[in-house]
Amino acid sequence: MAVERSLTKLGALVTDLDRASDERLEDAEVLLRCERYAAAIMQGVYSLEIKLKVVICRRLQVLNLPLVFQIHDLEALMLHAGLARKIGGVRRPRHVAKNWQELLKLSKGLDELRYRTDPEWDQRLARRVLHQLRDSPHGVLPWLSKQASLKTR
Amino acid sequence: MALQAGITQDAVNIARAIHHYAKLRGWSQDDYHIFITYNNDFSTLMILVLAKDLDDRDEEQEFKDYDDVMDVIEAQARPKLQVTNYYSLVLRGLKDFAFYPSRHLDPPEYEIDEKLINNGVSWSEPFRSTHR
Repeated sequence: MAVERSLTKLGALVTDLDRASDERLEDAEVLLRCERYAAAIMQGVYSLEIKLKVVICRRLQVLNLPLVFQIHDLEALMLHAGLARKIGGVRRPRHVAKNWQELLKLSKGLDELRYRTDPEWDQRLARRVLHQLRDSPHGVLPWLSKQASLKTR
Repeated sequence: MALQAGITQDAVNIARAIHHYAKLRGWSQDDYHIFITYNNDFSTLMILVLAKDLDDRDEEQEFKDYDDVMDVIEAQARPKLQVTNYYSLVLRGLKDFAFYPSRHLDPPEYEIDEKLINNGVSWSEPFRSTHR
């Protein structure tokens, strides 16, 4: 019954989500400049998570995110956005696919980072994550925006 | 059970393709290792290839390596896949990888038997027996 309700009940406005995704990316850039690398990476991944929710709304043609999609699993969100095969199906060069798959793997370790420090999450990794997220033409965020027919940053 | 067997077979076929790629690059068995996890809910595979030769690459080389490995997987393994919806690939040098502590997997994620996809060799077993 709870699942049925989550399918029909609507959550955040897509316009708010879109703005929130941009803000999380800006937060990530500020945190990178302040040498808070793990936090920068986390905010960058949150930006991607929220952008995927925007894409789902656009593809479903709804103004609010259905509650059932209020999840944090990037793999599931990409699947529900209907883009899981498409992002991996682009033939050589597969730049966006490579960036997406590395970000996906990284995101799987985010929960553990909540409770410990990790020297591996350094400046080099933070720069790399933001590059993979935002920089055209291979960034995952511009690619997602294009898929959703949104204005590209 | 049939799904589990199908996923394992898919992983073995992908690993074979990667071993073929490794042979083309002249890597010995000690030079590289494959890890594959699968998501039971989505029938997806996450492939990680570690290799000495993948250390210290520039971005252009990273993209080329990724494309080369994907080409081999798509040519040799993809037509044989039975139940896998899609797969993802990450290539890493050994410098960028720490065996312990590794991420704990919870259902629906499971690890494919490392020895099954690496010709009987496990790189993580010594770390696990020491720390558990």
